[in-house]
Amino acid sequence: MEVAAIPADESARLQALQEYDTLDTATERAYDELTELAAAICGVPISLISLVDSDRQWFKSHHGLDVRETPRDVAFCSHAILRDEIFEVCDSSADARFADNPLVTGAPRVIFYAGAPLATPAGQKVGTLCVIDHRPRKLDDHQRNCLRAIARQVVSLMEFRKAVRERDALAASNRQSAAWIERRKKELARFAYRCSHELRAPAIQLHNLAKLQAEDLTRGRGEDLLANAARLERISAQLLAFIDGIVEVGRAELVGSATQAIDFEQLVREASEQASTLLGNREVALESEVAVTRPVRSEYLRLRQMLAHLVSNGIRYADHERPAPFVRITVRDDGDDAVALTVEDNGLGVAPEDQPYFFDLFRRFHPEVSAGSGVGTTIVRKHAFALGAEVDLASSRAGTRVTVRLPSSPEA
Amino acid sequence: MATTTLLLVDDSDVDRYITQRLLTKAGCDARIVEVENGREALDWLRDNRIPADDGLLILLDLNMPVMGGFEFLLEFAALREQRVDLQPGVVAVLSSSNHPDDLHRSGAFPFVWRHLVKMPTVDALADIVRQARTCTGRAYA
Repeated sequence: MEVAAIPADESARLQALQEYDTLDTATERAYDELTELAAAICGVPISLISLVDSDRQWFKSHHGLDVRETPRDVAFCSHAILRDEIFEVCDSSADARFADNPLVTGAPRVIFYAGAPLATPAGQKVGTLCVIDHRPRKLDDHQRNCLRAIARQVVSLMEFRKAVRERDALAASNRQSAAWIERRKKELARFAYRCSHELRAPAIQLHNLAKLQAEDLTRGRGEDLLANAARLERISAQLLAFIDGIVEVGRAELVGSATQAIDFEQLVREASEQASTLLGNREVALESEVAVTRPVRSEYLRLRQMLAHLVSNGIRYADHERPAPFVRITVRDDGDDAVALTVEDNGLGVAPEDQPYFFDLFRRFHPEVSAGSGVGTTIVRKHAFALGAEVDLASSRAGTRVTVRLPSSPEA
Repeated sequence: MATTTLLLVDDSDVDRYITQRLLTKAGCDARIVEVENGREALDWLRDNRIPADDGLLILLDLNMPVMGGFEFLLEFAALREQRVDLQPGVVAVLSSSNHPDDLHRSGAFPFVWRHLVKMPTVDALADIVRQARTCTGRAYA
């Protein structure tokens, strides 16, 4: 028995077969009618639509035969897909390639075989439309033409089914995009409302304080005038920080940079520098420890912004009543497939009832301390989402610990 | 003569200052007590009794840390049930929010009298202080 060669384009051929997504599906009348037609025209008891998979042939339609699949190495169709033309074996019992084939010596006694390849528009032959008889015969020209035509109809049918599936998938993805846009629109409306609300409050204060100052001046109340000038200065500084924050949130959407191999030493150094401009003369110790063996490919700018915000928060909300306020950055391997970036402090902490709102826009939990714009953690969350990272918050009166779990890349 | 106690509940020291100045201009002679959030307001109300015939006016911000305005209103509603001296007390919401949801939620309490958007005019404040002095909250309960 001769085992058929593997086609030169085997992997592209199997890929094309996969894309039809027809293997192991139920029988369908549309295909069964085509094999019935082929059997009638050729005057044979058996006709099959055989799809040649990596180690078997599987029948989408099997007219006159109960079997659903056979091993590939005994299949006549494995030979047929090597040719562009119809492969015809008039009497397999007298053919050295097939005489001892178990499909010939035993059931289903394939004595006559003719298979027209099922060629995709790109030319990959994914299987055959074949006809089989238990006795020797030969197709005439008319039968050969019909067999070729029906084979083309089988491919058209598979192409049609594939196009319908692709259209449905596209429609589903369009629906998803529409839902996403809808969600973003709501988010934007909420953002605009929060912004206007947050801008209104200080603007009203500035407006009123200016009026009070005019009053102070006409009444010659210098001390009140000075106190109000100090208030104006404080509020306008907060307002400016807030406006910068809004701009930064907007930018966080757009910051998208190419992914690169992350140098965590550099990341920690740069983010610390960025954040420590805040330090001023405050006595907060910045500590860091980097012990990563896993490669991580990610967006450097997002990571740096995220880390800088976490460190800034640690500095800003340090507890100066405590003897040695610190902010500690650690980067370590985590589990099997991640790197954990942790920013820990012994600062004021976030009260349990406030923790659900930790990442909310414009939330400030220590208004008595902070001139923060309330956007830092929101930016952290946006970046984490974009990078596919998980963010965890653990906070108590002893301090706050935020952990960012970054997926690591497979080892090179 | 009976006096009015005015409880000013706002987390912003600047807003409390501005409100105080506006109240002075409005000719308010009430006793003004400043607290920073709903929790502190409740604590003060638990620790102090309002003398009979005196008025109580609470100027309440909504968005505050620790305990916000809505939570305070719920707690105050319960406290008011137990305390005869608090029943004439009325609340005017004084917030920078003019969101319909906020107006609706605070308006659901019968003792919430007005919803003022920061900052109200001197005339509007004078009006409220005068009414709080002459009216008892029972008319609104």
